[in-house]
Amino acid sequence: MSVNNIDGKLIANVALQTFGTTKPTKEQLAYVLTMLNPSSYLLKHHVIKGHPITFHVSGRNSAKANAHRPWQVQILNDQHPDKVIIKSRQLGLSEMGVAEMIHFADSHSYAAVKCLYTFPRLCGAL
Amino acid sequence: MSMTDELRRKVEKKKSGTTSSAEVLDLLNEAMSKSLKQYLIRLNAGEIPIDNIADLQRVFGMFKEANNIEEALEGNSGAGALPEISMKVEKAIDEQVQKGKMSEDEEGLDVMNMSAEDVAELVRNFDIAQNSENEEAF
Repeated sequence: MSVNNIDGKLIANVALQTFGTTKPTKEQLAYVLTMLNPSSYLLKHHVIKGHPITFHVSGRNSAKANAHRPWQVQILNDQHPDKVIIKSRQLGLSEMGVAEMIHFADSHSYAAVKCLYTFPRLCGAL
Repeated sequence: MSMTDELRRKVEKKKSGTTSSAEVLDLLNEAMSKSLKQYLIRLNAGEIPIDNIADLQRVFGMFKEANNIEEALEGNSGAGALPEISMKVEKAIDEQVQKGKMSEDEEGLDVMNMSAEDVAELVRNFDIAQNSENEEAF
């Protein structure tokens, strides 16, 4: 699910800034959308324990239950600077926090941003 | 005083008391530009001789780097190669074209008239396609 207000004009503008054209090719369009939308970026680039991530696993396969995390998508794509989440444990949100920071750093690399991610306790970082 | 206030105070103190790296970079760039210009004027005038192939190679190396010659020769000027798109992602784009949400001609895709809802649908289809590919990789 996408919760960001990305419309055609924004895509054309980003394509113009990135590729010098308002009419992107299919590859350029895929690249722009992947960079603009965090969940798309992570599906394309993020790897956990050697596997690309998934948010949905079909067929209620219990062996892949850890890879079925549909709740992460909306949290990731919400780009509000302040997010508060009441949650149970083991929902994979620490990983998503780090991943979101990587997306932020990559998509703002033109501004040479610096990032710092902190965990509440040392054991959270392990 | 909270920890953030303390950090902010230290940063402000550092800013006011020292020269920022951006300032040094500007000065360095200015000095380098001037030196290089003077060097090239003397080189053109024949005051600085290039009398062996090593000198020529160095100058040519600088020239290539300054002008992105190698990238231009490879047709990648200003950008690396884009990642290839999968058939599923291409299909998601084609479906949007067929629905009339965007048009395609020899210049590329005209996305100007896509609403936020149209883009959200396209992004959703992208994610479904990529998720399915990733699932197969398990």
